[in-house]
Amino acid sequence: MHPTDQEILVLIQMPAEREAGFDLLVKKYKQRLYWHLRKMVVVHEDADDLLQNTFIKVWNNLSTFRGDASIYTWLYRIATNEALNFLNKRRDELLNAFEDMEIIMASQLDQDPLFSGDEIQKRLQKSILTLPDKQRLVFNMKYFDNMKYEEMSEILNTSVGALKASYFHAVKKIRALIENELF
Amino acid sequence: MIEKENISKQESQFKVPDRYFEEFDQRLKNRINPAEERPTVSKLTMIKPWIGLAAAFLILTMIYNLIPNHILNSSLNKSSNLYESEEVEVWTDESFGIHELIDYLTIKNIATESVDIYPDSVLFSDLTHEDYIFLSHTEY
Repeated sequence: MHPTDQEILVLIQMPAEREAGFDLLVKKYKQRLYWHLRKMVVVHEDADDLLQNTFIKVWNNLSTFRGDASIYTWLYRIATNEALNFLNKRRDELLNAFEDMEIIMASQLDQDPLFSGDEIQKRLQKSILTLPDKQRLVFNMKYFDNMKYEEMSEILNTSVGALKASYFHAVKKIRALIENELF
Repeated sequence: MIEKENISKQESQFKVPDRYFEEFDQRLKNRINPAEERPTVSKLTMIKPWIGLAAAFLILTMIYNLIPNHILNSSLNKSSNLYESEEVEVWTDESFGIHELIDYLTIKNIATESVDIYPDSVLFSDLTHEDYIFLSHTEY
């Protein structure tokens, strides 16, 4: 049974208990953040790196966390930015090599020993990879994490209306890809 | 239509290495707190040995300068004592002739060893070559 966010926040705000509060934070949110990152970057090693980087940033900024947003929202925002920065950097590297990142990630999915989904699931994943990064985020957070639009709005700093539109278009595109057996 | 119930949660499609989540906390801690961080050393602590060395060198320099002077002065004093003797003023002008010089030397009973008589002394002014040879072979 994990402590509540409020209990963790109280510990974090006491310098003597900050480390203990951070440990509880890691235990409570590491899995959710990991899967959020893994869905974005596909490869386990990349997700692991990003998860560590996320928590290191959290640790370094704990003393400045004012509690104006929920801890959950704050963690998700840091993790999301880590993932987007990673993807942008990877894309820039590939641009010079004239390679398409979506194709590379789809290929990684094919070769990943840590992917155990069946053929339909693989097709779904490859379809999701064709979406722009932010739209992919919206789709993952809504479809797989079942997150509320209000929560997503706080994390992504985007209006609820824009998020709804983005999700609608993402579903339409993926459906078309799967139904037309393009993957 | 994407049937959510027909598609497993994404998490079950992806796997993680064995004990990944169990060991994650410790790996993270190792990154945040690398083992055996060196304690920070203040600048003063770092230069303390050099200050000590400089102070020792200064003391040695002072000792070197002071003590030899002291010893030297005292030894000079001793040697000056060793060589202290009664000063004898000898006038060599024309008023102090040879006879007056002989009288002075004999009356004063000054040891001949303490008197320096130079070749140009008035005592030798009337001596011939034979006298010199005679004097050089005479023991007094």
